[in-house]
Amino acid sequence: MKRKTWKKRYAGLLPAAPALAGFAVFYFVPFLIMVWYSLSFGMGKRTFVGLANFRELFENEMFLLAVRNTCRFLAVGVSVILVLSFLLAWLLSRLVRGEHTFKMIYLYPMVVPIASVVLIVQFLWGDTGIANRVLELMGKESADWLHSSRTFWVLCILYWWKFTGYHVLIFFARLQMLPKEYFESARLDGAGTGKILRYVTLPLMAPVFLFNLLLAVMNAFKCYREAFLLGGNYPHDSIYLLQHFMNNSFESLNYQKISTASVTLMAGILLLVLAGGLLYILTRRGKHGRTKQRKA
Amino acid sequence: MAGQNRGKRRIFAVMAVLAALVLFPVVYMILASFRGETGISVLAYYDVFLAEPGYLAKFWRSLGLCLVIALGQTLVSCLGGMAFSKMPFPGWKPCFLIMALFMILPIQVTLLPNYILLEKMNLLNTWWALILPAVFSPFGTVWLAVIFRGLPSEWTDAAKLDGAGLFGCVFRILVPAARPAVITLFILSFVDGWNMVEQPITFLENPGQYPLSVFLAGITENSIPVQAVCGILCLIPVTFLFLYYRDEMAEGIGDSIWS
Repeated sequence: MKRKTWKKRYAGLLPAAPALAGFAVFYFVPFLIMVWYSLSFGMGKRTFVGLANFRELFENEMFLLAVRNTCRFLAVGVSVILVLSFLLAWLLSRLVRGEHTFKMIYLYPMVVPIASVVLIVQFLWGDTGIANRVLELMGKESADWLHSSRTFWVLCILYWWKFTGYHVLIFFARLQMLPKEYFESARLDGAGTGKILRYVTLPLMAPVFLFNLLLAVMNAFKCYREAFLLGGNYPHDSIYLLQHFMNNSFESLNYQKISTASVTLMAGILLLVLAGGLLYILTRRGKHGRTKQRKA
Repeated sequence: MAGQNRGKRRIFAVMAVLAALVLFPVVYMILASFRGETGISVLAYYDVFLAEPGYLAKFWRSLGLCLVIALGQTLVSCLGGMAFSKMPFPGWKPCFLIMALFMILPIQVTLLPNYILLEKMNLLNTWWALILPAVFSPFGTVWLAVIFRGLPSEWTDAAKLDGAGLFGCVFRILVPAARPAVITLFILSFVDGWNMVEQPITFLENPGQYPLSVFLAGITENSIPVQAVCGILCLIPVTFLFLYYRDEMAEGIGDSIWS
């Protein structure tokens, strides 16, 4: 009898085995190796050196530049994409026809391969591209879009183009699920469109915003390919990302640097997620408080 | 009422303009592929599809590679999703959270340890180096676990009472019920494989082994029409999948908010 319950309790391990084993071998154990690398030093036999690698890394100017740029890209890229995709989803949900077609058109760039984007980048932002023609028409001097501080914005545009549709779909699905009665009663109480959006729709959407935030960060990290496309291994300073730093350290076989950078990145993401989770719990608690009050 | 209609028409117009902007790059590429020295020409298509067998051979081999990756990832994730959503074992929660955390990380974090590991397993410079890490990517398991949790547990319990085994529960009950989400996962992992750049240039020494994605990104000396045709070649499989399963994708991505 006892054996059976034991069997039952651990039954889930069987289907989980391939996923867990593969994840352990190709992701988790490798990561633990990196943690050890980041805390030790030496070729062949490694000795524990504590946080010395981290101290050295944080004095590396290229690393600091990469961290600054990655934070800036995440902050600008992700916040704009969340606002933009929510706005688009909200507008689409007010349409009566065509909204499905629009959703699919916006989603399409997500599957467009990077190799297919090379040409259009040259066409839009090359030396004789459209952006420079427009500048000339306005009577301004043409600019170097692909190797200057403007490149950051080109990267942002590519990111927005690629992933906005994905978030629109998620927001849209949630908007469709909101109970219609809420809006009807708000309208009966005399609330206008703007007030309903502010006081009814947005609070209900808070968890979806958090979910989209996670996905947006994940996708933003994938934009290294776009950055690589724009500037290769050594792009302009404005788009030198953490991934450039790590890839370049890889090419010089500097295991120390790349492991320490990876562990730092992991810690940063962990902090971000913890902050997000805390925020979520706090907002939920607030809501519960309010329902209790109403009951009383 | 008239005012409301005018508002809707205005929204429709804005959306249509945006849609045109979003599609513009692809339309431009198709137009560019027909550009000849004088007027319209299909010479570039001839160059890529007929004159040189290299492109097409790469195309089919990359297609095979990505299908293997996508099928493997979907299979592993269906089973993993079932375990994490319907058969919680002691300690599943920390496992799940760690997987979700790794899902967000950029590929560069695990590139170096993967390299060391693949070297030890003697898999460097083979396509296994591209396939294995991609098949076990944590994204699929996390995604399907979230989706499966939204389905009532009574379904799998009832199936078990009727004598269905583990595979029966997963592939007869959960997968058909969550068909859009499973198809979406298949497409997303196919696209990820089709677009991969970092892994091939790290794990493969011989550029002749590169899949289409890297190979095409390296072509720069060619004429613009030839580049455009290569871009289109790259677009064909993903566009086909996208158009064929467009409704499933819209539904599948939307379903992920059940959590």
